[in-house]
Amino acid sequence: MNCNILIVDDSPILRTAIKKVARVAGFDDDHIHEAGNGQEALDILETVWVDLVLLDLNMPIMDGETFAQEKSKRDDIMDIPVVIVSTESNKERLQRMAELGVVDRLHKPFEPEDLRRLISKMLGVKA
Amino acid sequence: MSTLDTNLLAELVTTALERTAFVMADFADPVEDGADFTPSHFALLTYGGAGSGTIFLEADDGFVRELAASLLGVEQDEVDTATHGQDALNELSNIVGGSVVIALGGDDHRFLLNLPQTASRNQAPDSSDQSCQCLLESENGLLRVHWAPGAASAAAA
Repeated sequence: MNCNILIVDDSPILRTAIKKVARVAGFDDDHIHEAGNGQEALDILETVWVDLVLLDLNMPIMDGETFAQEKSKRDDIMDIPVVIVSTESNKERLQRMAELGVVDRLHKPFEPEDLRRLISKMLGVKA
Repeated sequence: MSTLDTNLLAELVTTALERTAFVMADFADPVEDGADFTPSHFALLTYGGAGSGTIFLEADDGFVRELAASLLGVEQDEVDTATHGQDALNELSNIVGGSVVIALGGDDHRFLLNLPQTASRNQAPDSSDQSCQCLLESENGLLRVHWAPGAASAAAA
């Protein structure tokens, strides 16, 4: 698959687990990018075109909500779809994220198949 | 619901383990298995907002090795328990915390989770009438999970 995906999560082990699922969904390693917080994610978006961002919310340095706010201010990246992959279930916060253009959400704990299906749906790939 | 009991806490933890990492766990005997339990990894998660509380996890080497290996998709002997194992336990505390606040406050809860932290043995919350804990056994190790309401508020006060 030629699409690029960006995994934003402060847990290296969870990024690896998500990366494993992304491989199953058809991505090769060259098209899977990782960031440990929102600032790192913005830095990556400066140099790499990304088709889908999988975003954790609770992270140090720059959390997912601040990342989404910053991204929404920039014309060149504001339309990149973002899916929240997080333990977050606070409705007010999720509402704010929806207003910032987040298109979907996967609540932890999730099964790898749930994530694979979501990635395929978001990128229009036949599951 | 404004409180948890041992059975519900165990259910939340086992669901998190099964869904996220395909690790199966069941109740261990707190007396017999608990006597042999030598935890080596500790994780702490607090939450605030509409109320506060603490989730504290303690696990032995066998458990964190099994959990990390499953998340990483590698053999257990390839796991570095100090890094991968601890990271896996911290992430488990985060996922359990997310489930706990929904169990306590429902879909409209107003809790906010803090970041999971690597902890030490002496950060375990004190037991009270409202707190609970469960001891779970996976194929290769033991995990004890404590939940205590209000500890974060008390610590911040």
